[in-house]
Amino acid sequence: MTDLPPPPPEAPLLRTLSPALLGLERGLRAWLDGPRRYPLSTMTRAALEGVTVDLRRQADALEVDRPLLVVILMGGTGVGKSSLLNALAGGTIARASFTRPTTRDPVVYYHESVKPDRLDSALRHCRLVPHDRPSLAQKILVDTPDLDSNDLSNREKLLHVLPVADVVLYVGSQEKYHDDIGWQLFLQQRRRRAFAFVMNKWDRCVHGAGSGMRPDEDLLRDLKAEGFENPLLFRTCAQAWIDAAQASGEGAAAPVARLTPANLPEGEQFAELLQWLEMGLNRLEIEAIKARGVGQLLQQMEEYLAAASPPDLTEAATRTRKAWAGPLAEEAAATTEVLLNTLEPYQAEIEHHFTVEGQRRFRGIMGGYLHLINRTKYVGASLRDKVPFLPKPRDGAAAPASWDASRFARACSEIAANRQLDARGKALANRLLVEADAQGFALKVLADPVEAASKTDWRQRYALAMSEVLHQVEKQRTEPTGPRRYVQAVLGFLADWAPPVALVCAIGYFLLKAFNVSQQNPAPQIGWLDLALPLFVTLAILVILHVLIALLLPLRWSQIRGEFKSRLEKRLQQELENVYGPVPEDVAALLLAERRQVEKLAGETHEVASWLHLREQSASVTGLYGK
Amino acid sequence: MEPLSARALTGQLADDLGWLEEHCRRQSDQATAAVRLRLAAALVRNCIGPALDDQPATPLHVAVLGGAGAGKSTVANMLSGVPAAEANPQAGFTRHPIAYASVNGPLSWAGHLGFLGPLQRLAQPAPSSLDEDVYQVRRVPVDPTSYDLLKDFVVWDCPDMTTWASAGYVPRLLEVAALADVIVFVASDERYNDEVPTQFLNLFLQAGKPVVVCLTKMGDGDAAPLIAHFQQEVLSRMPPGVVGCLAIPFLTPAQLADPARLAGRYRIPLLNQVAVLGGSPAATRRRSVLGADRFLVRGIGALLSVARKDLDALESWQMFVQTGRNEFVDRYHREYLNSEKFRGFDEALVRLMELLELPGVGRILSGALWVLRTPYRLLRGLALKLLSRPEGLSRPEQPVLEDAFNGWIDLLRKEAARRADSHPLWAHVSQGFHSGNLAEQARERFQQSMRAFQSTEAEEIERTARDIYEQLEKNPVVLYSLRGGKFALDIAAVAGSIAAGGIGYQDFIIAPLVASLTHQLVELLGWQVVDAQREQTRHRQQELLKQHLSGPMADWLTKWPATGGSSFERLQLALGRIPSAVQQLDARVQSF
Repeated sequence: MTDLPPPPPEAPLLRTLSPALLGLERGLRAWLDGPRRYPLSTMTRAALEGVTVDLRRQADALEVDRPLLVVILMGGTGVGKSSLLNALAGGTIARASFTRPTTRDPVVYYHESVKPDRLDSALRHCRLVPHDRPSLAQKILVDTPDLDSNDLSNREKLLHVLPVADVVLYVGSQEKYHDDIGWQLFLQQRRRRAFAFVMNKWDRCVHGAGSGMRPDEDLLRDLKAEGFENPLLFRTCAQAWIDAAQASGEGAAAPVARLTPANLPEGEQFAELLQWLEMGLNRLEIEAIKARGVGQLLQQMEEYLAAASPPDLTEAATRTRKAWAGPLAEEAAATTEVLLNTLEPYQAEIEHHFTVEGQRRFRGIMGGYLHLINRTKYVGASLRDKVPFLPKPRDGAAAPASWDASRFARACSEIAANRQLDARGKALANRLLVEADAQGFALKVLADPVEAASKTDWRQRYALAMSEVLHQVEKQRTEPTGPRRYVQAVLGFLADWAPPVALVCAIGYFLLKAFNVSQQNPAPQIGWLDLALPLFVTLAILVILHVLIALLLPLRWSQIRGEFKSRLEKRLQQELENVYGPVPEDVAALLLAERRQVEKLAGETHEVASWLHLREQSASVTGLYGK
Repeated sequence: MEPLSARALTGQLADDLGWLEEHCRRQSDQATAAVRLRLAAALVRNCIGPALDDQPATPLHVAVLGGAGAGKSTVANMLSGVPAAEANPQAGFTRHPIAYASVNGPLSWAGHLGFLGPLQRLAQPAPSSLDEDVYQVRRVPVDPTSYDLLKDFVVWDCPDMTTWASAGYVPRLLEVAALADVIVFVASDERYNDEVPTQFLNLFLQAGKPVVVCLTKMGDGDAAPLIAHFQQEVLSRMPPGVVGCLAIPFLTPAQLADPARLAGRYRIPLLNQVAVLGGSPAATRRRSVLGADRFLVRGIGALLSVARKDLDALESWQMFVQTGRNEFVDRYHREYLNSEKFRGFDEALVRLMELLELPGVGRILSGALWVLRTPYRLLRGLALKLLSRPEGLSRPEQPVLEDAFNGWIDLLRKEAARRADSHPLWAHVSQGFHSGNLAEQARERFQQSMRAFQSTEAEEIERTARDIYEQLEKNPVVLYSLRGGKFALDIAAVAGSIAAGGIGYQDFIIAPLVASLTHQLVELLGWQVVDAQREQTRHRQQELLKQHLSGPMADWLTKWPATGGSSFERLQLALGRIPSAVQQLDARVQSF
């Protein structure tokens, strides 16, 4: 392999790597366990879980001076994995037989200097066969159960030990060298592990054939198609070597089958395989394979992280918010209309209330007069709920016994919600989500928060908005600004003074007339008319004032309604904007934060990977990986 | 469904099953189901179809099947007695089925319409490694000195089902397996307990094919224990149907080159096993057909279950359409119907009361009573104006309907966008909303239905209101008795009150009062009648909505994913047709 190995690096490269890998593992673990808004697909999640386990495994395996290389034999039942291991070991350590499947549990062939508790936990519970061959001291050979027989538990056992492998020895036979099951497993693992290939039962491949390719050539063609330009392929007849060893009588006693069997078919390469395992895989190669394995693991981790990284939706969020303005304004208008319609039956009460409030500033005679007039004017409204046989509205609110704006607003909001607004709220959420989808915002992250927003206490919000707006309108009515204010002040002044002055004047005039006894008029005639005069005069003044008030400070439901409507609409639009408006940007910000987190993890991974790349050994192991 | 001819029936069933198979192949987790479906389609096409179509029973077909490199070509050569099949060490060399027929025999058996489905017959000889949807027939000269199986049989050498390339050609071997009357299953000493070939063996047995198992390549001494082990490990778990199990050890190149003479000791038992099964061609063919029929009838549920995911998706789509529909109806009800007054009925009440007044001369009396009631009428008008609460305005019908409908569409649109990743159906719907014009189409349909609904509705309301008094007009007996009754009541009440109190000033008050009371009483009764009609109309309105608007829209939306030539349309068609076709086929086979 390498003629002149470069001097070993000063610091043990792999050992330095171990803490870095542990750090990455902790970071990834924490991220996986942490809360996330952006959903991970099941596949990505499983892949990343696998990566954390592998990181921990690699970190543990590298935390030593001389890391162990694990070579796993993988192949279908009957291809001769166990025979191959027996031949390599020079004795029967794994059972081989014609019954299929033969091997049920993995066999671990390792150097006696390795303490079993240094082995990976996946290997510790397999059948352990120690040996004393120094050339294999740093290597562990594992014979595995098959991957294609009817006994599916065998496949599971194989998949359990496979992640431990640094090198996979893909064992095929004339029949099974490109069977689908093994091939798919190879394709799935090739990015992560080194692969070398064995074509066992070589004798069956060479017997006469006019047509077709020789299996080894066929396999090499397949591998080339998968990017393995120059794969390591050993053509072997393991059984022949075992037979030869047994025939020589040395059997299990022989440390290595050194006895070359007779009549081996041409091109048989078992000796080369043995040579490669013993000598070819020296310390430098081992470190290179390990480093390359780690490098590939890190590269995969980066890829998975890229797949798991949430999208940047900031722009989409801005667009969405802009797109939502229209529907929200429409909704505010529609909701206002609905709420106002529920107020409609109570217009008389509201008018009454506003009148009363507006006239509170009138005191004395004027006050009493207006109070009386209002009573009469709105007698129907206060009576209607007490008259039993009048038709009642189908779902009307019980009119408040005494005026209480917040209770009244609550009742109205309740009716409106029952009748229309609940359904509208749901429909609004859908409308907004459809808009967001059109703007390219992923619904899988937006749907839940928007639906949650649509399920907040909208009834209360509407009630609050209504009662507040009612108060505002009322205040504006009772404490007007601009010219109205002066009109009101003048009227107030007149109303306060004019009726009493008129009364006093009229009474004075009456008294003057009654007690003005003079010669011309010794006994003044006092008629009914004179008696009633003060009353009439006052009443006339009151009526004139009333007419003035009605003309100058008019108060009709239609006006209140208009005022109320525009204010309520503005208020509701603001309310809707407050609740829904920030949702896309909030979600986008959350995803961005998650994205940063993933990017940070990926950055750290990349850092370790490039550090490793710079220090990677120049040993020739590229053939084991393909492109 | 009208009965189809046998040929049309099998053709259609094979097509449907084949479509379903294609559909499965597009989903990565349905590969096994695709294999089953292909076998079912091939059985209909190649086994049941020709039999019902009165094709001759001869020659019988024997198919050699097994894993890659197990020695299928070798076994095919042993059956024919001629080393015509390329037996070589490249695993998976054979890529299309090859028939070996006697050079003397007829060839008409391959002329049947739809023979081997999509596989085309190669006109020119080609190597077995040609990887296309073809088959070829090689006519071989038979060695006159040895037993000739080809005089009754056609031997088919088939591709394998285990290599990574096999996904492309497994359908070809299934086609031939379905055609076969006997299957020779080849398993080597490496392969005999492999999962994939065993699954196929199981499938062939389920399809009622008699199977002869050839275990190959073992050492000479291992033959007996290997057969025992195979029987215990594999056959004991298979459905019954394996006829024989024999061993062919590793053969020398010389034996391979001349199987008829040099491998006779292995060839003769094999030929015997196969020949016994083809004793009477008609009976053999009948057995194949019955087996295939049983496979279809029993397996129909499992075959169709592959579409479960699609059906689930379709069902959830239907559920959302239904939810949207309920919300639509509910909103219409709450926002419009509940508060709608149907003013037409107030008019009807007025007309009704007018009808009850006396005509002709009686009009003078009625007029007198009307004058009597004038103060009451004025008072009542005033009181009502004061006391009755103004109505809350309700929105007109059209905007309510449109809003509710938009809500319905938005719901579906949102769900489609949200679920587009979960199933192709949702992706299809989402696509329809995005780039297609699903929403516009729906709206157009809705507008049309709405116009129809509104005109029917207006008509209905007018008719019901008019009916209230027209019914009475058409029935003079009742009308006159009611008029008479009311008049009598008025007169009796007025006269009675005068009689009781005697004539005096007080009568100026009492008489109008009493006359008003009786009139009010009658009006109240009339009001009851009209109001009952009003409520009924409200209910009928709901029915109308369902019939003209929500029902048709829901139907249209429900079916939308399965229309316009989408794959879901084809799926529904297939799922609907297959069970009945299998039933019809079963009936024909049973009487065959």
